[in-house]
Amino acid sequence: MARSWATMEDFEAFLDDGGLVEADDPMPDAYRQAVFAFIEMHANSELMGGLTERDWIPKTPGLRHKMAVLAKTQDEIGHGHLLYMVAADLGVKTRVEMLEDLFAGRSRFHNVFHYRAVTWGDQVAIAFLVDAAALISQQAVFKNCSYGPYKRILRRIIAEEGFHMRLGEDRMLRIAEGTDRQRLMFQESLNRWFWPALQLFGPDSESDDVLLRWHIKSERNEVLRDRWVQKFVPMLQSYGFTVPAPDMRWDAVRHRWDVGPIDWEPLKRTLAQGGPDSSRRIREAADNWSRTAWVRAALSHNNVAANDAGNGSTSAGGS
Amino acid sequence: MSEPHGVREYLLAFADDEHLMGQQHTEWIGVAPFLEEDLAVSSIGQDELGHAALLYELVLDLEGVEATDPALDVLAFGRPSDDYRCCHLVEYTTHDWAEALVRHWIYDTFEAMRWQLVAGSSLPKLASVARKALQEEAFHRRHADALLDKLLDAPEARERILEALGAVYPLVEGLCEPVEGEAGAMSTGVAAASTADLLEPLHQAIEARFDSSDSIGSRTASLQNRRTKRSADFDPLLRRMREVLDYDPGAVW
Amino acid sequence: MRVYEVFVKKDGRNEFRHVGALEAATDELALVLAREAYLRRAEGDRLWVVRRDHVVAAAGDFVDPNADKPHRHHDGAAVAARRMAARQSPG
Repeated sequence: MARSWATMEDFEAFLDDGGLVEADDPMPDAYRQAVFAFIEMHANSELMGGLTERDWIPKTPGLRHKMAVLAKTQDEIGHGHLLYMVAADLGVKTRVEMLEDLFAGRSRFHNVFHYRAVTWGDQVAIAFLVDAAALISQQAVFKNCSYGPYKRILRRIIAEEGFHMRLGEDRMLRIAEGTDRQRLMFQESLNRWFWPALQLFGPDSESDDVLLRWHIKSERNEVLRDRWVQKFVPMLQSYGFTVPAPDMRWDAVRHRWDVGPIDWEPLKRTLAQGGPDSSRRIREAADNWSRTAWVRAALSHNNVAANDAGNGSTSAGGS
Repeated sequence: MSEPHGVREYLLAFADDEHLMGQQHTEWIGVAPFLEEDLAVSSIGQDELGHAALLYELVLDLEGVEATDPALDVLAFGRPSDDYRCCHLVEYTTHDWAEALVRHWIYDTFEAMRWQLVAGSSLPKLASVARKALQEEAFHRRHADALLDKLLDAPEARERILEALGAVYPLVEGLCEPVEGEAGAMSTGVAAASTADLLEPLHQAIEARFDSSDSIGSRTASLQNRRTKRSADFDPLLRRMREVLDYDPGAVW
Repeated sequence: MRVYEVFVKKDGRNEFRHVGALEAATDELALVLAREAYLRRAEGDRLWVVRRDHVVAAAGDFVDPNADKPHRHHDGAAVAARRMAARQSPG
């Protein structure tokens, strides 16, 4: 297999054939940029998700419970780590550049992580609804992803997200079977998080979406969104919660829930101007990043003098 | 204090230290100096909380109470602050990552020695917890040492670490301070020796590690009154830990 | 910081597998950090970390010629067909 492609048509034929691109392949620049932007956004979202959960971890109600929640958020940070490593190997930005862009408010991440978890119920709603939405998207990417290093780490990420969903469902069940105050708290969380979670999938895919054409995504946004709706609407109802969608109806012909028209304005506003809480979290993370700069500087100390500096952009390239 | 009460108080002091140390590590989630370190600190925090859970279970065993999660949480979160027996070092709110790292190193160096004291405990369950904990402690110390090896070699970082040591050092004496009930734990063979015996080896280890008598300064007596007095940092921390539990005292989460 | 490649082996049946990479300042830190980055759930029982700049990597087209050596892959189907034919016409 000669790993170079004379034209975009050749490259796309290779992808259509199920070919997997590796970090050291001479891929078309447009593909490199598109894959990089997609993985960088995924990495940012994992990290921002961890920062959203961070607010509540020290207050987790229960000792063993706290261990489980810590392990979950640790995984999210770990996913960020895996993704930043893979993204850096594409040679577009270094890991530090990606983090600094994020902390300077220059990069994108999923809409949901612009909001604040204001109660413990929100923490559970995120673990249950948002993680499930993320998992559905990731499974669809994994299924047919043409970028090899991304596909391989997605296997691990998806396995771990499976643990999180079960944790989220277990915690949600305790609330569903719990006191009136608990149930009320979770209903309010559901009212806050249902629509942002649903909008994580984004608006309907454009017909000429290059992410689909280049087999980075394998299914259209609206298909994934519908999969989530069909799974979670009946589940939430069976636990006695109200889905906050006044126009929702059961389509007896298609045997599907139709949530009604989706108001995309909040999503657009969030992506354009940042959300209600992201600037605070980013500022906090940025402050911590600069306050710990001395650690990173000291750890890099002497590497160059010892003639063994590696900045990661050498030939072995990627995972 | 009778022997069973003594053993209970001894185990509570151990458990409370582990609990609060684990709690303190959770504050670094997402904001450690680099992502790999974030993962390591989180694991260490989980280990310490795990030790606390196993030690609180032993207390429930002594009381003849089944070690369910709610029973465990009553012990961990539901006591009046006067009944806690943690030391001021683990209550202390650190000001930066240097203090957190220095505390992590000192605490885990002490902790490994403390587990050795109960590795042959007359409580078989405690001896078996000690075996598991000692394996985990080897990792905690290796982690802290690997960082310090490199950081103490870089001039600016060394200065920050030694400054942090100066801030944390006065709390070392209290770390090794026993509770009154420790005598009961020793007379029943639950513990082989007093935690007070660990003070000298710990001081020596600190001096060897940081190699700086300037930042260590003179020894400061503990203000804990046999671990019965809490520091100013404790009540806000406990309130924070209890916030959700207090929201609905009848709830199971 | 340097980049290290991380390899993990799970039980006696499998070879070491490349699982990812990380950044670390020293070999010791690379080992310590790799454990919690890649083996949190005991995904392996052996761990290697290798500095990326110590990996000797072949160029993409170095191995390719060996993809075209059919004489090294004896065709089992053809042998089986002849075996069947021989059984059906003994003698």
